[in-house]
Amino acid sequence: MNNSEFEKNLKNKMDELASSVDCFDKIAKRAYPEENSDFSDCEYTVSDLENITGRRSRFRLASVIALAAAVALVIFVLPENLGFLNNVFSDKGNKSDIKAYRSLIAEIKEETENHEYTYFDCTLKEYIENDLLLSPLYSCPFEVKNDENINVRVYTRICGEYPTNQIYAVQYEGKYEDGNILAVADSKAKFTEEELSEHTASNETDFPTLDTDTFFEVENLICNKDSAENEMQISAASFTYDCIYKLDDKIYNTASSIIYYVDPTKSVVAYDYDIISAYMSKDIIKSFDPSVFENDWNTALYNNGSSAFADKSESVKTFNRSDFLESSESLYITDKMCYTEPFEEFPIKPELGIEFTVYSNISSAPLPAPVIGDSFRIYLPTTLENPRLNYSKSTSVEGGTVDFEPKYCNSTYSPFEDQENFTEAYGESVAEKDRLEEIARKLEEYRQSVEAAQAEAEMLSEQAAAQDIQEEIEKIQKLQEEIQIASADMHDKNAAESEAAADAFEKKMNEIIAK
Amino acid sequence: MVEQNFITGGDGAILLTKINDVPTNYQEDTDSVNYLIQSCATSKDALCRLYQMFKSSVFAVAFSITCDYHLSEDCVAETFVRLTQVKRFSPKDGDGRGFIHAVARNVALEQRRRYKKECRSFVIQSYGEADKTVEDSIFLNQMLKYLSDKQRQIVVLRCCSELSFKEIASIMKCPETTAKSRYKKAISILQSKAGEGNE
Repeated sequence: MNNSEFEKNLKNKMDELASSVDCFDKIAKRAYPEENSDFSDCEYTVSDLENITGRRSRFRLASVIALAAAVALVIFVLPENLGFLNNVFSDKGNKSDIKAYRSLIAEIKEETENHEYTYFDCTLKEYIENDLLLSPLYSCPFEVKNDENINVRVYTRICGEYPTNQIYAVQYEGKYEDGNILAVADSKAKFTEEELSEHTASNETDFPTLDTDTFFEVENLICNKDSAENEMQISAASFTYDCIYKLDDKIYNTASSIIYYVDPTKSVVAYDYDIISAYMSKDIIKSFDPSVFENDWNTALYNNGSSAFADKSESVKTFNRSDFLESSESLYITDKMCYTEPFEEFPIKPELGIEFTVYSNISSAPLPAPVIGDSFRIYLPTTLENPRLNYSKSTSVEGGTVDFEPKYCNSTYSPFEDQENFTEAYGESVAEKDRLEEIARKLEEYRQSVEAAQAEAEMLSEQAAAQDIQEEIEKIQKLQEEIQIASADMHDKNAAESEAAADAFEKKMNEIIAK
Repeated sequence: MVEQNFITGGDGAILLTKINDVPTNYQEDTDSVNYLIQSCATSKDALCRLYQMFKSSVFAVAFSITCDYHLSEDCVAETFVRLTQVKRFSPKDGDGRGFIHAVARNVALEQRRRYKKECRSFVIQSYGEADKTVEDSIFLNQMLKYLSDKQRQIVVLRCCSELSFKEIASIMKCPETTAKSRYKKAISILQSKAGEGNE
């Protein structure tokens, strides 16, 4: 079956299925409700309608008993099992901090029950080590603990399909239950339903695309190494993360590109990363300062009310922010680089603990993959021969090796062409951009003038044709006149000849009669 | 019958979609999707016309995400209700057709998240007596089950909603080249699976 038959088949089946959908009345009732409700002629009031039979309702003893039992349960039985209520009688922490903790717990319950949230669970250790890959704009707020049984659940509020920067982190022991919660943290950003609805309905719904910016910087990381041994190390990866971001009562559609690479100077596995962010404002991409991401947690409290924030000077993280994107040296031509997108190319699902390694004729370092964030890419130089992609999961024995075709950052690039003929593929200078815009403007002017000339030529040719036709008509008219004259002459001539013949005949007849 | 007229101008084509067989009270130069979106908040006729024009493709987008007939039907209703609540849609700001599909997609993603349905599951909901509906739903799910979530959406947007790759890229928030390559990959997967099925 070829492509067009597939497409036709799919469309036909989908149209058949859609043909049975008939919900316009339902839509109209919801969209125009005031048209549908008219009870002005009804003789009953609302309360009358509720008691249409007119009989008195009986006192329901069963309801009262059930209510009393529920109250007794709440007062006498549940407090034995609910850890947070025990903290009311605890003598640690002052009362206002404990109150703040309880208030935050209640806020998390209310938010997650009444609004759209996604969440993930992992151990505290995993979150501290991989926070960039789990929640790119927020590092783990909690301090390190050596207990392997300590877990974290991170809730992220969603608007449509995009995450916002309203998040909550809940630290708990063992299974996630109210009685096992040890600490909670919340973000400074809080959205109301009205804010999100208004933002969704506004025209500012686009997110910027940061692809082209990433290529420059990553190539620098791969190719511009000091040591000859590390020069060709495949150690860089990137991913993007779109987020509806609230800052100082304003809401931005931000897109961030996060690039990380193995730091070969460290004795333990560690990655340096940097982040560039932008947002859309009236179709213009504007830079967004990523340093705001570092101060986004509002509070972090233990269940006794004391602070649960990590001491930043003591924490050892796997991913460390290193400002290399702003301070990078001269950039290489992007033709030297290619990439692969494993989650796009292969049926591998992003999850915590999955790592990729590109094998080739030189060594390479493993790269952990983000759990969230689109367009996860691994970068490698184009000079590699027959690279293969290996992936593994730390939590299981699953893994494998796949062949892949790298994609070139410059789509016109071919490794077989002479590299000296290439100029910079990206990053036009301002002057170059102006020159190109000027050329485009002139081309448009030429196009318009050609169109005008064509129109004029058509008009002239039409006029000439009209004139020819007019001349032909005149010729025909003249010919008609000549024919008319000629036929008139012939008619006169015939008449004269007939008359002469008649006279001659009459004369001859008279002669014969006389004889 | 839908007649499509392209007017070239500047850098691209401006698409005008005209419905020939639906009676209309609107003047010809205002008979466009963008105008209908602006009017539907106060005009039931405008909403009805939008519904007739886009019901099938909105349903297709929703089904590609939810894989469930009833959820998709709810998504269709929710999408058109939301269109009547759009406060600031201006024709200058873009393509109404793309806007409708973007809204449909967001609604479908919300619905799927709310009901936490696994798209690759084939548990059939109780459709009651609508056997044809069940058959068609199963057929479509079988057809699309080998595709990833994004591949499925792109294939449906291309084949059923008949959007261009540029429009698809705008809705899916990805580069146009990515949309094309995902589509190509998806079609090759469908062809190879169809080939395996025929053996």
